[in-house]
Amino acid sequence: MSNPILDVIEKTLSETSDVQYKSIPISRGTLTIVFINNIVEKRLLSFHLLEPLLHTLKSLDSMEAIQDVICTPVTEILNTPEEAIEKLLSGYAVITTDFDPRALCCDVSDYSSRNVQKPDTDPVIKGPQEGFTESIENNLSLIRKRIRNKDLIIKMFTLGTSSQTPVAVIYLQGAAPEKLVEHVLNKVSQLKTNVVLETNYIEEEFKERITLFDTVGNHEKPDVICANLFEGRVAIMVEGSPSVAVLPYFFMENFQSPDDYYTNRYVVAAMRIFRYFSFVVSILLPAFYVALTTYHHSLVPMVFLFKLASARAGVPFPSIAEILLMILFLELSREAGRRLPKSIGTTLSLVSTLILGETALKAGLASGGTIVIVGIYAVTTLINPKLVGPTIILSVINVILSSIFGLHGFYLFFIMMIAHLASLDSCGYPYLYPMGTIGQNSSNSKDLLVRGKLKEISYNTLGGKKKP
Amino acid sequence: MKRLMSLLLVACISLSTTACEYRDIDKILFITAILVDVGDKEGTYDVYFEAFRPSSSGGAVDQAGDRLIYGVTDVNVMEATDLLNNYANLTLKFSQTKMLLFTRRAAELGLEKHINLWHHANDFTVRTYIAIWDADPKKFEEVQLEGEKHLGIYLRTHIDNTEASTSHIKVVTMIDIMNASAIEGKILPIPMVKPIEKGKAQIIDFPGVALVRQYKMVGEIPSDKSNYLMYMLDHVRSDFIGIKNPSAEDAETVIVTMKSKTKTILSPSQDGMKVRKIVQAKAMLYGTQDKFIPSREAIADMEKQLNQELKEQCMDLYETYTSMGLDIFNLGESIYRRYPWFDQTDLFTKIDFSVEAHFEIQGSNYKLGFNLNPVNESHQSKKRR
Repeated sequence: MSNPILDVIEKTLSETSDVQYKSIPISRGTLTIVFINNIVEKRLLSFHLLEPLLHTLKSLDSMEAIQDVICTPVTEILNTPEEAIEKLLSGYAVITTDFDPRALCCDVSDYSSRNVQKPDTDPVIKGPQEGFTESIENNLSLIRKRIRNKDLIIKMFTLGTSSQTPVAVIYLQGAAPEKLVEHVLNKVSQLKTNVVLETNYIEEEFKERITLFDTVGNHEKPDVICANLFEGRVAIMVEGSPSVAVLPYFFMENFQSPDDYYTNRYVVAAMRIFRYFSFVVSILLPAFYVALTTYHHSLVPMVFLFKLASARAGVPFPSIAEILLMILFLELSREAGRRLPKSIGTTLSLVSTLILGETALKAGLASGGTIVIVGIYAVTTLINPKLVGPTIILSVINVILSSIFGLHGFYLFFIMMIAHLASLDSCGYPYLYPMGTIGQNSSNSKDLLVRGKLKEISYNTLGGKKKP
Repeated sequence: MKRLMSLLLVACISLSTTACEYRDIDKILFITAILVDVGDKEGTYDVYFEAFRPSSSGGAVDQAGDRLIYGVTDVNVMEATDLLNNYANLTLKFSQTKMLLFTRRAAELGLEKHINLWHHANDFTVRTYIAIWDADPKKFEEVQLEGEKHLGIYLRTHIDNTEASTSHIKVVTMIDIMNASAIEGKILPIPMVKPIEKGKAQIIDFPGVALVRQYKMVGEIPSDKSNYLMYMLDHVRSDFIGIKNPSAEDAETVIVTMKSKTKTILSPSQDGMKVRKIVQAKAMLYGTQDKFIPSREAIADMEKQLNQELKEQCMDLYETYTSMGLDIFNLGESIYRRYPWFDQTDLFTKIDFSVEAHFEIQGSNYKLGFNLNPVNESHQSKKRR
């Protein structure tokens, strides 16, 4: 007599060579343990499963008796072959007998994952250095370690019809507005996708407008996620991804750094102003330069004008082509440097600097003014790493508009950009929040241009019912 | 609707940019100064343009640009720029024209036609300074100034500095001259500039101010008197006045005015108008020949000398120029603004003019300088206690 679940497993996974079957004769028949070789912890399998079974072979006369003997913390009786296959693929060992049609699963999973390390994004000088890894369990433990609160809710989902990826939706009950939680849970549960390999697979479902700006946050640091949860936001964690999505996400957060909350707030205020300023400079400066040097010469102070004019004398390209080419080469070298190993990347940067800078100047292919402008643009784009992508594209659009319409195009771009930002929302919350919003949360923000005292900055920005 | 609005916005912007055209900055010839002289033929002018042409000596080091002089002779006002356009291989721009100069002859003939033309040129700015070139027009081409190739740029800075430090001249822009000419009888003192050679170097001197009324030069005040005119026009930022040193014979002290305010008090009477100019100035001891012993008497003596000097000089100016029929202190304008009903026929016969000066000489600061003010003294003694 055979077990129907075992039959289906054998049939379904017959092509896969890493599925292992181990049969043990017991008093009432045969007990078969099925597991996938690469995703189970062998020691757990031996000491917590096989050894107790072998010591009590004679008394194993029912599935419940087997469940009592096994020492693994998670065991579950399964009734269908589909459940059994799902568990098998999740690193569980499935036990079947030929006297009971059901199956028993126990958690002996051990997916390979790296240890907790410093994240490459969001580096901090002071403050927690831990970063998320690709293991959802490790990541959840990092959250639990920081929030020992009964209101912390973790809802697990399995998404991706093919990938069957575990996904966790995390929020703090009471702090997170019910509507927000409901919205996120609905979206996640109704997500119909074949594969989920990274958080972005889910994030894209929350981005409803065509925009260059991220309306869903992304962090690799547990302390940041915890702070967000306390503010009433909802986090989404995906197995296999070290980045955790946060909803809602506001434009101003692009200018915030984890360091801001661990260092002197007056210094932070200055730094934040620098970040805002650098964003504005990176988007507007190249276009402003083009507009002034091609249309509105009378607006340039005389000393600058003559310097710029002399510097450009002999350059074979028009100003617009010159600046676009410089930006293009800069972005090419930046992109190349990003993909290369660090050792080669440094060499590339040096060569690029030489080509883009001094050599181009000496060869008369670029003017000194343009190199300075592109240099400032390059530095200022790097100050806000979360906005590098949008900044590059917007700067180029602005440069083109300014070269066609002069300062009129420059102003047009600026107005349209502000209008676009104001039209965006994240889970129904205005993207520019708290700027330009009205109501109880508009003017009392203590974490915008400057950060207020930590105990005073609002933990209830989204209008949740209670403070955590 | 949104699409329509966007299209409208883009259309508006396209239309508003029609006045501008794409022109790279190095393809432009920037005119920095213009000199207008009277031509040999009647009704014609000789116009000289100083231009900045961008140039680079193949590398990044020399980026000073070239100074070009274009001269068009015997042309009428309208022809000058047209001809210049033919001569130059780059696009002309007047937005950086810093100086509009007129020779004495041209200024006496009248500035109106030129001012009207230049201020209507689309990229010419009304902030351009006006000055009288008190030298041969050829010098305009020949002048070589140290530290700055372009006369227009040099003069602009020089005038700004001189106005701020000595108050012998006053900046006059194109808009000032147009405004002044709208008021009948108003006189505008325009700086006169003259290139002179000092050793091997060439410098620009201000021999005085030209008096312009209704676009025409009608007189001049030499530079040693022009600062007193500025006191009367309430346009003194800083001024140096030499007086006798009260502590040493045959020696001088120099006083620098730090702050000056001139009030005009008008009192109409049955037979005319009493006009009092009251100058209240704060000054400092700038330098002295021989020794200087600060004392209450010495300071009072210096203040008295200053008051007297200013009064005499201003009265002298008034009398000299009223005899020539020139209202250099613009008293007519002041009277008209306050008493428009006042009949200004034979104005100078109806005016009883007087000047009062109240100089106060102060130390360099409260603690280190001499302090002879009784109020301050008592304050200081209180502090000491």
